[in-house]
Amino acid sequence: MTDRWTGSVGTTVDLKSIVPTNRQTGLVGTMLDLVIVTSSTYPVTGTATTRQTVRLDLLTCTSRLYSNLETLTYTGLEALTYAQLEQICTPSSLPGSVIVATSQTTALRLTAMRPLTRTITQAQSVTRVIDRIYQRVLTAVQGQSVVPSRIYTLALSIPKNRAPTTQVSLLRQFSRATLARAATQPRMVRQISLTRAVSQSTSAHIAGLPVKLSAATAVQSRSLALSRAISLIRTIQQVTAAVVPRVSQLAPSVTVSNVLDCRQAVSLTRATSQATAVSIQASNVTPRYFITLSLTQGQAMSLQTASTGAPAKVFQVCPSRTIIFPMCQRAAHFQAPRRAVRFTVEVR
Amino acid sequence: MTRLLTCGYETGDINEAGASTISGPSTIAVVNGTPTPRAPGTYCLKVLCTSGGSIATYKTFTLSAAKTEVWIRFNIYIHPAGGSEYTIAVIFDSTSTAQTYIGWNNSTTVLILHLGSGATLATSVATMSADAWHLMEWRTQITSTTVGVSEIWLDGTRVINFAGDNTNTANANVQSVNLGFCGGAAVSTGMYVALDDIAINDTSGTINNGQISDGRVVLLKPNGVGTNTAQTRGGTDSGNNWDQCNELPPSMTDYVYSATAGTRDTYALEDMPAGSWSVNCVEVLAYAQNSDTNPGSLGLTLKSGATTSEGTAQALNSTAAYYRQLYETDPNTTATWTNTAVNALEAGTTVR
Repeated sequence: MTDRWTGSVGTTVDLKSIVPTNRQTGLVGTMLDLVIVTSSTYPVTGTATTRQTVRLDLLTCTSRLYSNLETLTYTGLEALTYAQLEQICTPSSLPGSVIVATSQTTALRLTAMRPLTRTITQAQSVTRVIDRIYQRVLTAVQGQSVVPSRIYTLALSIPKNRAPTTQVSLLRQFSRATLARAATQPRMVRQISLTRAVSQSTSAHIAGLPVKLSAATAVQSRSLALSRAISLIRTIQQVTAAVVPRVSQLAPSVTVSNVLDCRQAVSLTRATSQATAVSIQASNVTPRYFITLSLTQGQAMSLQTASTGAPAKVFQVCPSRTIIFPMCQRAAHFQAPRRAVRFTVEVR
Repeated sequence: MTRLLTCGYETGDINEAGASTISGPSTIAVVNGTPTPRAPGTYCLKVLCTSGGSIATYKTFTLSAAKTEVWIRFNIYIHPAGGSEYTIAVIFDSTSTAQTYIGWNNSTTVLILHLGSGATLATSVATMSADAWHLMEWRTQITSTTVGVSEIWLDGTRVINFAGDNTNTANANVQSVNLGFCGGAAVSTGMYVALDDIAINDTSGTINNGQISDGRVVLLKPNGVGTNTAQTRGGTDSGNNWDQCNELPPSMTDYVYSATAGTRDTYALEDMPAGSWSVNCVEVLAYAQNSDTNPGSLGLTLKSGATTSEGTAQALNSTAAYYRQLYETDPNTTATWTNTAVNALEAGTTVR
């Protein structure tokens, strides 16, 4: 018989507090590490949007419409806007019918980065030791009147090869007037101190030369010929042919106006880029010509008058009537009492 | 994550970051004057000698892991009084043994890079004037126990460039940094060293992975109701949840609380200070605790744009402490922070 000995019995219980633990927040904030943004450049950004007029010159358009009913002829140069061209044309599935829409968007963006740093030291202190005997201290206070003038000219030109060239020219006028007076006071105390003070009535404080870049104006005119002749040939089963040669010309006009104002600038770096995009969209259309037919019908109107003589009025009242007029007996010249007189009236 | 530490003591609380060591007749405190903190911040760390003698009083910032290359940025203001060479920064390996340290000579005002043993590795030609704020950046790269690079930039200019053995131990790494008056000859009463805008990067990741450059650490406090107001006000009731959580220095006299997981508060924050700034990183900071010793966590929450991001739940202690959640990029765009996004931020907590 084997005994089972039990010395201790227990149960391990994992207790969870039923008292809620509050999470208490006394401060909430956001810590930032900020970087100082320092720049000695002063970006000036100008954006010029080119407005262009797309002109499609319809040189000649001759079409013969169906069944040789009408013939419409355009001759000569007629400037049509795209809207107008679209108005006279309507999409069609007819083979060979093509209308060309040309659009061009050009954006000219001028960016000038001009770091300017200028330091002018006005006060000068010059110490000279001459043979270790004479010491002359020259203190010069220099007043300056500086009149800067800068003219920036921006010229943009875009030749037909679409490679824009930019020229930035700077015309600088700079005048400086300096007046200085110096006073020297030598002293001999084993060493001679020669002090000369230079002063002038005016003082200038110029830490940075204010420069105002007044205006940079670029006027760009460009005549961009697409050198593309577009022929519109419409073939109709019948004896109809339409030939519409077109020459498209783009005549953009760009006006860029920038006013650049800078308090400090040393150099001007200007990057000019012009993006030119020309897209040509082609869609099948059929020229639709509004043909106004004016139909005039001639009428021959003749007025004829037939006359058989003097107009007559015939009144058929009765075939005959007998009217009896009583006669006064006193009328001497009708001395026919109770005579009957017959009148016959005929109306036609 | 490459930003390891961001601290300007803008909470006004000495316990905001780092462990304090006070040795000798000195104090370490967060002050808002003498010297004037670097604007637009309002506080800085100050080590003051209260009586003549040898002192070693500083903050220790321990990194989450040992690193082979770190960039340390801090701004320092030294008001000297007595002494000769002030040890102002020390880096330690994973065993808390000094690898290298920076000294400032009170007479020549140059900077000296020492090995942890005391040997001089390099001395700057440039000087660092007393009684003025200076930006100091210290790069330490330890390739091996014989090869490394130590560079020091003073006010944006590299003044020490040492290549060679910059290890003092058998461990080719860095894991903690001391900043303050870390040692030196006895100094006189009134000497103080102030520090501000401290940041540490390592080189991993794609941002904040190199030289930090000059900057400021600022704290944006709650200033309005946010999208979420679900927690309960506790302590002194200020009337709104957000102004239970905006006092400086932080305290638990007024707070918000909840024991229900998922309960969330987010608050509108102050805008960035005026000036030309870009944002290196955003770190949500909360001063929080549990009401008892039972477990409880908070997920520090940030709402940027339409995106609400809750950080990993952090277990709280029963005593108040600081909890952080770093966002190096805007979670709403996954790109670097923009000033506009920062100004539109909401921050808060979610009970977990």
